[in-house]
Amino acid sequence: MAQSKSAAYDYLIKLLLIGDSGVGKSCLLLRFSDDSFTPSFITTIGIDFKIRTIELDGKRIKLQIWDTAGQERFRTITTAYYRGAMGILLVYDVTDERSFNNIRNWFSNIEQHASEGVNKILIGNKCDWVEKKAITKEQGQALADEFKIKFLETSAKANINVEEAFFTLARDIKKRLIDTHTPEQPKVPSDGKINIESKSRFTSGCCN
Amino acid sequence: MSNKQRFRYQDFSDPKTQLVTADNNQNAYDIYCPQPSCRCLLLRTSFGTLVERPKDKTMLPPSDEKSESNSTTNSKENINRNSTNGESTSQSNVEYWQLTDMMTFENIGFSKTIEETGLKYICCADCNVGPIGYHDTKAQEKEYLIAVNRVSYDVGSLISENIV
Repeated sequence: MAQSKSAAYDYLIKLLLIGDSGVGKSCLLLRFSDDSFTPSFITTIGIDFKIRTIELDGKRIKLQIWDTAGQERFRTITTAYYRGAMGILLVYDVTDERSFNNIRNWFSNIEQHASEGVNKILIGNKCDWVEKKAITKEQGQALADEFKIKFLETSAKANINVEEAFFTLARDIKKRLIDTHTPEQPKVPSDGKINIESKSRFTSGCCN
Repeated sequence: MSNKQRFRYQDFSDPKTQLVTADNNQNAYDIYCPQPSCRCLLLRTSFGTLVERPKDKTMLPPSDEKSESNSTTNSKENINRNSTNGESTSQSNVEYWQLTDMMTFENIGFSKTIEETGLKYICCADCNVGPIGYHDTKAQEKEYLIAVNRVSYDVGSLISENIV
């Protein structure tokens, strides 16, 4: 309990999950236990975002991770969603070639709307599903190399590389935004605090 | 932290005294997911303040947690079930842990906003169980509320002193 009073955070990082619907973006935000428990109430409404606290190099970092919450069906995400995003996980399903081919569209959508220099990582999800695999690891790596971003194959179901994906991205962002700054810089980026009300207005305006 | 140290609101004989810090009415213990199989830490000690909110306004839908989650303390003797069950005092009020900054949560999930009510429901970050609380996007004062009887408490080594 000694550290509980210092449970405030050092940095706040806003991340987005982007990719076709059905690739398992929401599942990347779950931690599966042995239990067969499957909650239904919140899942039915849909998750807007999650807050997770991680420790990187002795610093407490709050990750605020936004799910696209159905907007991806329109194959585009508007500028408001990207606002303040420091990192983006570009997710495809390794058993679904179409979702892989669409990564190029998502990438240009990001180039168009997200702030310059936002960190990105390419994620090939559902990698545990070997017999249905349509996209090889080499194909994923080649695309990531072309975009000059990092790449990981993950399985939310088998808990492979999921933690790793968030940590890798968070570490890159910390390096870019924080480690290179002078100590006088504010610790928490001013645009990092998300106003939940303004987001709500945006959500209801765009999705309904 | 082992699950054996985690207790529910109704496991305490006098939760209003045992669960709060004496001086400032804050949560005396780390708050975890109510699911015994889930190890998600939601809120650290003394980051929530005990408040009451009108029952009719909030009306949280039933949580979809498994019913046997209440049985975590079956092995423990001398547990006095509290009949108030967190929805006590006057029948019209419910007790919550209140936060004014959502970043105070250690790990947490927010649902999309329900358009009719302006409510966002709060769930466990790891397993999505919930609702365990809510945030009213239309409220004047920004606050995030966790129902005292929908989470579990890690009483750790203090168990013998604090729980009857």
